[in-house]
Amino acid sequence: MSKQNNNVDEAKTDSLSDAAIRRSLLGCAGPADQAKFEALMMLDDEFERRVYRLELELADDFSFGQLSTEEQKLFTSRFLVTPDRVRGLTVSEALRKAVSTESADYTTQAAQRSLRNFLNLFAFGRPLASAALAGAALLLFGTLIWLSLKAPPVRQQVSSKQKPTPNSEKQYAHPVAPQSPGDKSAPDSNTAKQQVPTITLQPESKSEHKQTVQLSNPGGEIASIRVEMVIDVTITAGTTYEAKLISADGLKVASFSELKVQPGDQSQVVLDIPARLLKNGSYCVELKQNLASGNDEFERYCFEVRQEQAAPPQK
Amino acid sequence: MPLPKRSDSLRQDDFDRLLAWLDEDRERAGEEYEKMRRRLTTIFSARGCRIPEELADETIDRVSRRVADIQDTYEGNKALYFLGVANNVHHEYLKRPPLTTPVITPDASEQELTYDCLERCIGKLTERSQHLIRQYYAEDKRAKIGLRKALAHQLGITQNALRARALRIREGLQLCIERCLSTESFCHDSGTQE
Repeated sequence: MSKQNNNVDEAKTDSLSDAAIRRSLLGCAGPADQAKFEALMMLDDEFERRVYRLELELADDFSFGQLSTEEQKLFTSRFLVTPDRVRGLTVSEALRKAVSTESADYTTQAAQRSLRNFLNLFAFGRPLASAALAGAALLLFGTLIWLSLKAPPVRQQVSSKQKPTPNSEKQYAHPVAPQSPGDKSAPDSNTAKQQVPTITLQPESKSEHKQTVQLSNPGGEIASIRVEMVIDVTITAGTTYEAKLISADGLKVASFSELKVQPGDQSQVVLDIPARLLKNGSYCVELKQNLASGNDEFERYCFEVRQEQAAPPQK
Repeated sequence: MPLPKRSDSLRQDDFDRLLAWLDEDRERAGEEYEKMRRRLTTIFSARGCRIPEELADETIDRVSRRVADIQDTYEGNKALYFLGVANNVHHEYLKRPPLTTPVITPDASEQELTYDCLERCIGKLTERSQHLIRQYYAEDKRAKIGLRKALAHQLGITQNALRARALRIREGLQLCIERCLSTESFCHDSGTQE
């Protein structure tokens, strides 16, 4: 026992670097570092806390795409093995979404601040400048009225924008009523700002190339994407489907149940997937029919997500 | 802190004896138990085990059954006794046929809740911490490195100090979110809302 205690004392005085701890967490440390890691982990409260913080950092790095390919594999296969760590990753994902949203808000605030500063130039103690500004505002107002009388109705412009072009990959706005029951994230068709990119997918076995859905949209906020999956079966009345959304790492991102077939030219099952669950990369939906006999067969429908920095709106 | 839950395979008297051995005070013993379980889980996962929590529980169960024999004579740090037993459990695990274990994934409802809780928890941070977190995590890859360098310079601290500060805030956020999630889950389960 005393020999073990000596080892611990040695380990305590000679601590591990953050890089070495991260290697241990990913299950790829050398034997000497691993032994030291274990001894410190069991005995040193401060070290345990440091390890916990590095676990959070590792999850953040994974979410923000800052791990190498090899590290990503180790992360999913060796690190992500407890519910606590999966929860940690969920927080990292939420943080990534929140920060990217805040960055966009921050840009808007900066623009507002610039405008305010500009207007302040005219505001106080400058009667001549104020009069000039009032004149300019009147002129602008008059021009806007003239333009609105001359221009076609707004509704017509919006609907013509939403028509798909023949060569597009069906990345157009598709404001139709939500079709998956109970899906709170389904977009409100009346909200002009929220657009729903829609892709229609054939089963992976019949599809030659993957379709891509773009999540950046200069025209407004994208809350969700719509995936229409073409099915090739004889439909029994009341049949429902369940679906799992799987990421490229093989992780289940979300599951959907009680999905019904939408009749049309082609029978389809439609999913509305909240955009916040998606990031750059490949995804597949595994679609399974709910049968009383207990069915294990499923079809896969795969697609690619691209999420780019929002570009300024083009005139 | 609630007392830890006894594993199903463990007898109540063994479990009580283990807690008493860990600390005379029942509440502190509970904390020690949780700490030991967490540490063993981390160690088993660092050894590449697919079921680290089960192995940690198995280790604690075995220690519990041995406490009656060793409690009067054992000298030294108790954590090391756990580590010794963990080594045996690990050897046996390696001899088992490889396991195909399901990948644990969060469900969509939990992701929604997490996002809501995160927004609330960020709102509770001081303005300075909010700014730091926003800047620290903003941008991607190469841009991030430059941004963090500039942020450290702006705050008059080294990049290491910035990282430590950001991780402290991040840890606080994690704890806040976990508390928020447990409250939210309870509200959802019992059909009530805040």
